[in-house]
Amino acid sequence: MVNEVVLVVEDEDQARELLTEILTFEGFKALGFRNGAEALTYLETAPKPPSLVVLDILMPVMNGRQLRAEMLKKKELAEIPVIVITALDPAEARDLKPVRVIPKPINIDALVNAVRTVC
Amino acid sequence: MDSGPVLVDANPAGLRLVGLTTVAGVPLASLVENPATELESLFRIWSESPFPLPGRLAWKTGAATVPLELEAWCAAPAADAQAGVVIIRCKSLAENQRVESLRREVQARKQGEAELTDAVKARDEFIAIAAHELRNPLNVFHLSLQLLYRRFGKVEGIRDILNRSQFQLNRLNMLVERLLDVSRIRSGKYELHRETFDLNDLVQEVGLRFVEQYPNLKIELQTDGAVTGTWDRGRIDQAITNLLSNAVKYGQNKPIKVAVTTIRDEAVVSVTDQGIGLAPNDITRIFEQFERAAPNANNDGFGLGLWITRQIAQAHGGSVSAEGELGRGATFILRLPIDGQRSLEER
Repeated sequence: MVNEVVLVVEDEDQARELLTEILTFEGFKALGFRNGAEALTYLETAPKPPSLVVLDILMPVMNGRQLRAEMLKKKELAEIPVIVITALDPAEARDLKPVRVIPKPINIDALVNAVRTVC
Repeated sequence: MDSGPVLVDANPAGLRLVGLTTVAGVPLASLVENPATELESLFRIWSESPFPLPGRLAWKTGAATVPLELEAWCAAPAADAQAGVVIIRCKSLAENQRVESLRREVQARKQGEAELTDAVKARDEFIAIAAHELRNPLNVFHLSLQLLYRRFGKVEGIRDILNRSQFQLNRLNMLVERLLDVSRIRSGKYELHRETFDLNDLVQEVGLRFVEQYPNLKIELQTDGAVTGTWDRGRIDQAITNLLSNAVKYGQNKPIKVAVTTIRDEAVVSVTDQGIGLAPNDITRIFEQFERAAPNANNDGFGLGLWITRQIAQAHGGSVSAEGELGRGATFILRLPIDGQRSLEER
């Protein structure tokens, strides 16, 4: 579990920084990305796929839905579990095929528990 | 003195039109509004025309004036001592006028309704955007507090401050969520995402959450076996949470009983407190928007919880009701059809 790589894809700077900090505090290797495109570049070039992607939906450049669609096109990326965090209605996250949807404002205990279950 | 043309006869419809039983000898001028203006010249033209001539007059019947559309022509010209005969065939325009005024009224109402719909829509959109935009800063606030908890939560004094902040933040969050719910319900975007589950599990989960939040709270759960149905778990969670919040708010810190059972084809969850109770006229009022059982109670909401609970119950084809007496506690009963699909079809 410790040092499992978790990507945090969230455009809101403060939220992203806090999330990575909390997940780091909880023992994960959390990496933050500002949008889907940045995360996709990492995913396509990383030597080892991460254990989990924590993904916001509404983001500029490439949103969460588009990133997920890209991930689902490639077998090795399609297998990475995704937890969606969103200020939208949780029902709108279903098509992203997440293992869990956590509504904003994020209940951090629920998120950490969900991350632990996956990693 | 010549009183001008007089009427000789009228058919029954004509009599109805002037509101008289007989017209023989009645001067035409006495029936026409403003006779002096045109009647004389009009009648001269009619009395010389062998062909029907169209025209309009306003007829006096009692206090009312009836607009008439007419055709008049000469049936027998005047000769020597013999008076001429003019036939006037007329049609009341009152009915047309009434239809026209009704049409205008319908149009005005439609326009008013459209304006109202637009206003409601604009308000709902505003609430939805406002609630959504509030969630992001709330999220950062939540995360900041959680990080502080992790870093300094064990420090005496700081933990109290964090707890207080978290409590108020949760309250603020709840208010935003309520606003968003109301806007969703109002705009009809209240879709149910059904799944099959045992209501006992959900009640237990919600109960545990309350006990975590209020460590001194006593909740007694009663069940007589699995109560499985197909409902929107998130919404039912919210409904039961609302009922329990209410019981906590008005329950005077006395134990709360939650019972889950099946009665015929309905799942029934009842939440009973031993608090301030309900006056008879509160029993229906409290389910309306912005209403509370006790306006001066230490409350932390808009008075929307029970209204939202009722919307959730009704969306599932169920209901929520209250029983109780002043000073003797209250019971809130949530009823849900076990067969979710059937209830949908019935609706």
